[in-house]
Amino acid sequence: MAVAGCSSSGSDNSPDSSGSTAAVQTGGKITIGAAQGIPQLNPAIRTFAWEEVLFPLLWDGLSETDSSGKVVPDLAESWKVSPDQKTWTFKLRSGVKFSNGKALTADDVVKSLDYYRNPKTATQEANKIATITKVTATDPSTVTVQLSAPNALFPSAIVWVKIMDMDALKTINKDPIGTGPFKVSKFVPGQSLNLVRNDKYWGKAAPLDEIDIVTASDSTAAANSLQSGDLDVLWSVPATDVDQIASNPNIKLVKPAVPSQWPDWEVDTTSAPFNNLKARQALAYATDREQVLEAAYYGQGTVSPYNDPLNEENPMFSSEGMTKYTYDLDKAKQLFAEAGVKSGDTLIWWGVAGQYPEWNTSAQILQASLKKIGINLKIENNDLSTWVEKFYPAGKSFPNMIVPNFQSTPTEPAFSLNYFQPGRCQCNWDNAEYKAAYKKAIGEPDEAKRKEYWAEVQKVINQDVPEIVPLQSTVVTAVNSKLQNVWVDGGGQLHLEEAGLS
Amino acid sequence: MLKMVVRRVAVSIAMLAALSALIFVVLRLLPGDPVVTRLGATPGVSAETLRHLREEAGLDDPILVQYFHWIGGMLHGDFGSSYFNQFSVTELIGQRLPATLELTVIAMIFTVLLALPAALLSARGPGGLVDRVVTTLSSAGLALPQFLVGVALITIFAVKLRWLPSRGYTPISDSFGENLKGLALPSLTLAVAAAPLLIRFLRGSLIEVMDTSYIRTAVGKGVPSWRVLTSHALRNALIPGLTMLGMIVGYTLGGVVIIEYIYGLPGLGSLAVDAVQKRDYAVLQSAVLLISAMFIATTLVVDILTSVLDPRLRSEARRG
Repeated sequence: MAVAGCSSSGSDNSPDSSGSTAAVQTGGKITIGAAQGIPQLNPAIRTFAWEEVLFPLLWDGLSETDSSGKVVPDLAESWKVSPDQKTWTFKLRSGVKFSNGKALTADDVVKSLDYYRNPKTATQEANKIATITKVTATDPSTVTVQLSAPNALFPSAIVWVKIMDMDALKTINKDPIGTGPFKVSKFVPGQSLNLVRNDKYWGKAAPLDEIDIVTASDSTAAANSLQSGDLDVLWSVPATDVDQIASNPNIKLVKPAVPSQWPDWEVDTTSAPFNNLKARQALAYATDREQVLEAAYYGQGTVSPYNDPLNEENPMFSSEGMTKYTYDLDKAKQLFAEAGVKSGDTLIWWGVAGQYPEWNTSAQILQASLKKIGINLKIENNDLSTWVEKFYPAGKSFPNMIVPNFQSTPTEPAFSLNYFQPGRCQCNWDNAEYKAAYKKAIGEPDEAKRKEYWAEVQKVINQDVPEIVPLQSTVVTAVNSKLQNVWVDGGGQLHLEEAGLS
Repeated sequence: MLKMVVRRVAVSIAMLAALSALIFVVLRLLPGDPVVTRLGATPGVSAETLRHLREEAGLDDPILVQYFHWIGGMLHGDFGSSYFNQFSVTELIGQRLPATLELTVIAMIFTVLLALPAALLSARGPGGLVDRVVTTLSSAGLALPQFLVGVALITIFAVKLRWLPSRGYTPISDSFGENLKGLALPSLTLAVAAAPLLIRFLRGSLIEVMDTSYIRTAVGKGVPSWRVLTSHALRNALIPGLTMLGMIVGYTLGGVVIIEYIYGLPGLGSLAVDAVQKRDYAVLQSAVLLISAMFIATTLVVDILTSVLDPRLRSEARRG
């Protein structure tokens, strides 16, 4: 028996988190705003980070992450693993019903997992569940998952694999059928989604009667709506607005305990000049991380001088034997020269127009730095579709380019550091040392040993610089003070399932 | 008259047909497609999966086949459906039409209520103090960006006074009062921009009409100046104003994205912009076509109305 999770996750500065659940009244309706809209409701094919807000509200998985970052049972009551860490058996909770009244059986779990595994589904979760070879219903309340490689952290791999009534998949955008504390009452794609309490929910009933999730595209107007009380929560406040919103005594800011959202500047490690390690190291030295954090992210985050996706607060973080990429243009110039990038050469920053102002500021900082060593950075910003087309999916060649992107990952290193597996990262990095170290770490049930192995993985990434990770950014959520028990996980996912009015 | 209407309708249909081909082609010239956008940058998707998903969405068919598929569907009342959520385009537009229609109607009422008295006051004494105040204010209204007006109105009426909501739309069926309260600020924001256009137009044509011989006769007869202005001059000056109003209505019916964004209204504008960004071909094609059709229909109605009101145009139409 192993309830393996990502252990406790460091200090906790948010008043609403872990254990300190405030008393709330039953009833009430709140309105939640975000700049993005929700285009569709199928959890398996969510594209935009904001869609994740629905995960804990409408759906359940076999496991879930609690506010302290620990992986705990959800629809599964318990689980156990074979000594080789390849066969996981989940015992389902009894008495669980879908929102349409149908009882949950092991068969539903098998069908849902198979749906996620189907390559045609093209789910964001594919990374985490790639090693599943077979899912079987041993009896109506037991599910066995067979893996091709040891994974001591499997329950944390499937936190975001949601169990659906697969018979209702065709109508999922009209009437999604899940087992979560809320259900959908009205959906205007891209604009608004109205949720009401699910009376058939198996767990503790949600305090709120209704949650309205709306699109608040204009940030100035959204800040005003927060002030007038027309919005109770504003998710992912632009870094520029944080100070102004914080000055309002009726609004509190909720931040994740361990930030696990990280901008990554992707380069193609298979074409010039970034197929040369020296060019990548040069770029790492030419990145003024402090200034990027201050000017582009308004200080909302922490710099990553070791070019490490893991935040220094992450319990699995290590910097042992690693190179610190302190801003150093002399080193950058020399390394660039050794890699054949000369004075007068031009690199391209391939960004997105309009949507991510922090990317553009980052580009300008890098441009100014490179200019000092004679290298030009041409900034090209396009709309999202044009941007994606250039470097996606993995395997495309994009010489001379630096492509800003960002990853929202769980704090568990198994599912942030695995981003660098071949065929996943558009950087096209394929490193044998990394793959071996990763395999060793994920198969290790002992936490202390695993920490050593994760340190090895981090070291390879640090030394070989598959891409630039300048910092970890903090997703800031503004919440009306009368609303309690709202929390945000490391990757930025908003949790409202226990939220209530005081 | 009938002949003119028939001719105009025929021209409109030809325009829509040409437009449909244009929208279709331009959309496909843009890099990216709905499949790639839906995937975002989902790691671990193979080129083969991508090809398969494109095939499923019918994106690998030759462009002409895709075009006639769309046109053929529309002739049977099937406008296609969103790649992202399988809602039919008719449903998506149906969800957003009420807010756009209401916003248009209420904003037009505000516009006329603001513009008519202002233009009359202004035209009564061109160059006078009142006229100068009106002209200055309407220049300001024209110059102010709508988002600034919107934010200012929200700050005053929603944040400080708390009289009206800062955002959101309540359907009439839920609550008529809340519905009107929600639309008050967005309509006013639109009217602040639209009224100056109408004021300038009306003021100009009023002053022009006031100079004609029949007005001089009326004044000479001893008709009080206010009556001359409101009942003699206004009727004739209204006709060109109607054309202007028609254009404003057509523009508003197309969805005013900025207003929808500021006030969180579910209108046609944000549906179309969102569809462009997501390359949601079916939604955008049909939405743009519908918006264009509404614009064309509005101008047609205005032209018919104008010729009914103005006998000179009617006879010209008969001759032509």
